[in-house]
Amino acid sequence: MLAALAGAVSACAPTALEPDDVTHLVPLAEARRFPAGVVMGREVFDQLHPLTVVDEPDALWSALSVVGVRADPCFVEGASGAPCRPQLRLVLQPVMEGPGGLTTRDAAVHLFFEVRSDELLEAVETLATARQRSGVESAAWRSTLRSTIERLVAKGQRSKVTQMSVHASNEAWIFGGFSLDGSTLTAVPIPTLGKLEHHVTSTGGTTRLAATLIPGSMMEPAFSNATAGKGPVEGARASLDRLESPDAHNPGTVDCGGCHLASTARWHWSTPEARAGIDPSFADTRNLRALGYFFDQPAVSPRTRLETAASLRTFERLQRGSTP
Amino acid sequence: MMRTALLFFCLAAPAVFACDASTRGDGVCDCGCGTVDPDCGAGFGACVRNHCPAGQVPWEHQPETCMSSACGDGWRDERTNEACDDGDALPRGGCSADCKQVNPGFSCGERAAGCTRTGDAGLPQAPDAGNGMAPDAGPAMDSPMPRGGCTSAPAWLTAGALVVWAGRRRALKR
Repeated sequence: MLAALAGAVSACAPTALEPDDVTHLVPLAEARRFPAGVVMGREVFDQLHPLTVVDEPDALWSALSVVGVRADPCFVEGASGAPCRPQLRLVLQPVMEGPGGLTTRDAAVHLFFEVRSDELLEAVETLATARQRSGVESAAWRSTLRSTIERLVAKGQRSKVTQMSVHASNEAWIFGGFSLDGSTLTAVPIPTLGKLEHHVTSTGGTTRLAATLIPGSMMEPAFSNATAGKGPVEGARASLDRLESPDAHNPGTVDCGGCHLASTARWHWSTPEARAGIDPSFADTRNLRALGYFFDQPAVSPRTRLETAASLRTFERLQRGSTP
Repeated sequence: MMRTALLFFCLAAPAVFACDASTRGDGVCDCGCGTVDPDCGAGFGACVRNHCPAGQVPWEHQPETCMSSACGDGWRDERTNEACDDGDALPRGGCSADCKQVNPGFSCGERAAGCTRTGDAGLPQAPDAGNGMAPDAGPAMDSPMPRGGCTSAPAWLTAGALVVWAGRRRALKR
């Protein structure tokens, strides 16, 4: 009797969500089976900057794959008080065969889709149910992931593309963003900088942080000065905290380069004990990934983890019938 | 007078000097090698290699910044036995994919902009403009894609621009 009652309660309870349901890094072998062509057209890709200078466009296009998925029920872009909107973000990287197996180029494209809140919640719950049934390592879950994304993409509105292209030595990158009208890209100024490109260099290898943000961060100058060795690290710690906090900054209030440098700065400015919980791939100061692969190493930034936690809380509120 | 005319010509040539307006004159030398960026210190706009330490070269997009040398960076590095470097690690253009061989019909200098077609006497000696999308046939041009920022300028126009800026700097000093 009690068991039956528990079953009935369980049937009414909302599906329990976990981080994998809202932010997921796709294994490289699986990503290779999820090509960019499923979610964007070649004509969009052809309007981007060349992602690398070491690959032909055709080779890059055929290698470009979905490596990361993020569901954000309340994406905010702008100063305090800006309205939030539900969004699906896909992370694409060129996935290629390397000497040691599959690897990626150190470049990325982010695709943003405006989606309906109820449809996003339904998608996340579908993933959660599939995860509970078979686990995220299963072929069944991955199949559900792909079909769920394809369904969302078909219903949603592609709104924005951002990209990060890499220099030959893998020590310099150009960030830029575009609005999307149909298949036409229009370059948009980088928030707070007013420029169409953000140049980032990082030349310190694994021994020290020697990076430049050009232009320097307008919102967190202490951070960009410290990464370049032109200011004290101590004075930049508060800046770093803000860069990693979704409550302090969002993609509309700070430049792209600052956010992407934050993870390796966190690693190099921390004591060995404090590095627990940070992906060790960020020991390499060239690793600017937020969610993706640094060559063949998975990389999830501390900021992405915090954003994921915030998204989870918001989805849970939505499950209870509240607004974001 | 002539300098003024030349300056106007250079700045009014967006097809070549595709430097975004917000990038030029913003206090940061980031228009790229060979572009007209008044923010670049003397010589940097044209990319002076020897301001970088051994093993490093200027970043094509940001001439005052030095990066590790690599095939595809647009600089021929003798220490790694590069025979050429046309700004990409692809077989097309003036240089082979591994930077070990100058492609037939091309002659390459120290910089990407120095790879010029020599095989066809009927064509102008068009330079290979760095990491643009130049096909093997025909004059090399930078990508026609709507790039947000800046592209390299072919050497034959860069030279004119440098004369202008050198002259302007001298005039300012006086």
